[in-house]
Amino acid sequence: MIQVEKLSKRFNNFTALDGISLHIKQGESFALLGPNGAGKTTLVGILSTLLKPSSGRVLIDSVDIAEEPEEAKRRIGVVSHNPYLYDELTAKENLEFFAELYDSEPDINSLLAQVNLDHRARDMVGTFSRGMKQRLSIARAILHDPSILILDEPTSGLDITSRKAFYSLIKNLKSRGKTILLTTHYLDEARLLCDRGVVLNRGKVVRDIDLQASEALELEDIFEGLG
Amino acid sequence: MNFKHILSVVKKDLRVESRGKETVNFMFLFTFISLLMFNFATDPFSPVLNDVAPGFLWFVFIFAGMLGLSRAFLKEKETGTLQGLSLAPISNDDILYAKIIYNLILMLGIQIIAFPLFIVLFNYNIAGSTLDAFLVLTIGNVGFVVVGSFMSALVMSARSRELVLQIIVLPLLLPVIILIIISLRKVMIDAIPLLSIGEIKLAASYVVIMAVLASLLFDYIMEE
Ligand SMILES: Nc1ncnc2c1ncn2[C@@H]1O[C@H](COP(=O)(O)OP(=O)(O)OP(=O)(O)O)[C@@H](O)[C@H]1O
Ligand SMILES: [Mg+2]
Repeated sequence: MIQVEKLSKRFNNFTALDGISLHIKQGESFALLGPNGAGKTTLVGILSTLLKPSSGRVLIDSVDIAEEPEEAKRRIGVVSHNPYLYDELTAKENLEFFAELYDSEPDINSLLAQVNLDHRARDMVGTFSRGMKQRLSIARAILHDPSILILDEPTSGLDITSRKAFYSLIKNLKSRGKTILLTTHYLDEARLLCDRGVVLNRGKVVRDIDLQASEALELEDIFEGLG
Repeated sequence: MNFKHILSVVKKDLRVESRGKETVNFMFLFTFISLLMFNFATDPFSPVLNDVAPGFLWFVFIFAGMLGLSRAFLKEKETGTLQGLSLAPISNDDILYAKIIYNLILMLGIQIIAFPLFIVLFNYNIAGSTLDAFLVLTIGNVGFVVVGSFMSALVMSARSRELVLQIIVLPLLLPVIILIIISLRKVMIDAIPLLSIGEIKLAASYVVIMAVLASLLFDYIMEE
């Protein structure tokens, strides 16, 4: 469950988020859409405790992230454009290192198998393709079994095949009851993975979208209307 | 403070460094070449050598350390893995402590190789106890690493990163630098035992104060 209440974020004089409120239920998958600079990454940064909000409140499974950031972090897994992995460590060493930080003892081999990297476990991550790094990044994000997965443009820079492999992984996690928050520039991606979502523009929620509804919907039309 | 987390990060950093050895190689090369240059630049029979050698030795360590320090945080900042660390439930303090310990290990490694090298190259006759001289250098290096690691975290977000680091670190380190040079001279030239040197106690106190300040301020630096 993610509860966002009147969240604002200012960078000096610039307002990146302006009074955002959202409620995402446990097990729901939710899309954050919006043009470049809308504030998606800023919102995700606050939810994943990397950024401090200027005002407002965020609850992760009823844990206030400002009051108990470490507890909140244990409930969240983050996959972003940057895989947050060490090139000089092997796939296995990377996962082992992060598992230590989460004080968790996952079955690393089965994690690697889940993301189809068991055959590369002992190879340096620096030798991996972007798609492989991104898959390993999912393993990194779920090794502590978080209830919430935050994905910030996870498929940017991936080709169709890697993208499809990525989608099936996410779908699998969704079917296991994880709450998913996805930011993306692709409506078909949002349709494929999410139940509903919002369009963000200039730091405000400008539209709710039911992604499973049959109405023809074009992001271009929505974005054009924003000005 | 979570020792397990600190240890994990130190282990990780050492492992990463052991794969590329970029930083260690560079630090060691710098130390070696500086010692060699100074060796050729001075007349081995001149009494001047005796007089300036302690200062020179310390100078070499400071700049070797600077090379190592500027890498410790900046590399993780540049590759974005520092954010990855912050996503995990490890406290910012523990990240700082881990970086300090990691840098200390690098500096002590360099010192263990460079100090004997210095004595051999210069055929230097330490008037006091060799162990005391080594300990003074160690205290200096600890001070340098503590203040430097903290400053390195502080200027992480600054633009001209490495340059800024050196500009800020040097003035803050000045008290330690001067006190260590005086102490080194007292050991190496005047043969005064370590425990009777007031300056070294002052230097140690300064380092402790800086360490406390660093851990108090670090949380503010890590959040934006
Ligand atoms: N650290 C920062 N300092 C100043 N301004 C910032 C900072 N981070 C983001 N911004 C500004 O906040 C606004 C929102 O940025 P954000 O990265 O959240 O957009 P986004 O929706 O993720 O865009 P994109 O689709 O390009 O990823 C932008 O105008 C950006 O310039
Ligand atoms: Mg973004």
